[in-house]
Amino acid sequence: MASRDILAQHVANVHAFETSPENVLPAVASTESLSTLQGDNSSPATSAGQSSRPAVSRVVTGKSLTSVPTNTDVDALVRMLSRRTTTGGQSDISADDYQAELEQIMGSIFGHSENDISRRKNVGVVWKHLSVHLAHRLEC
Amino acid sequence: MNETFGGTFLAPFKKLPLLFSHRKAAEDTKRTLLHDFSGSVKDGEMLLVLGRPGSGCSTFLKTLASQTEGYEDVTGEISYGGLSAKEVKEKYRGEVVYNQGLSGLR
Repeated sequence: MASRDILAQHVANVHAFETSPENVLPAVASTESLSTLQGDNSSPATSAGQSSRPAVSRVVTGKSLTSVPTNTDVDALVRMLSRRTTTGGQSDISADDYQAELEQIMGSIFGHSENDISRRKNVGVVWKHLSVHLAHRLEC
Repeated sequence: MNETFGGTFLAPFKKLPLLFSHRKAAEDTKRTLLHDFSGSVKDGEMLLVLGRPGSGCSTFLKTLASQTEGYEDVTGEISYGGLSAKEVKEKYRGEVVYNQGLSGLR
């Protein structure tokens, strides 16, 4: 349950950051954040300005809870997603950089990406024009 | 140490014919064990090496495992996932191992 609490804390942090950055973040996950964690989108804490934002990005399923390995990875992911969404729909980085950074973070959480695996699939042991000679002492 | 007294005593006389021979007493020749052999094994694949005794199966496996001591010269190139044979021999010697006890099964 520790990872669940950590993730709930992060979701609460993101939520508080999006609504009002001046608010002090709660030290322990509240019941509100837990309800958000379980997919309950009827939380009254959303402001009018954020109502157009899709709520899907904050829904965390039980499957991803079990696969979150470290706190820093989730931190980086949350930071990146919050940076992406708090600029009024406009991204401050290019799409390629965003994709690369996202792949790096997801790779650190879930392992290497499919591209990396397929790149390594063609690599094995290759020997070319191998010749071995043995010094043979011939007695006459 | 295993030589008997008689054997030790007679050894110089056994080599006498060689002194009177015009041929060289011993001649170093190169015997080719593997010649221009190329191939590959992909990641996750298993390679079965079959051959008659003396056909070079063990030589090939030893060469792949960088156990080339005792051979006169080894030419060609081997790549281990992009690493050269020299790098593997220097840094990853324990990763590629030839076990003589497991080879030669019939």
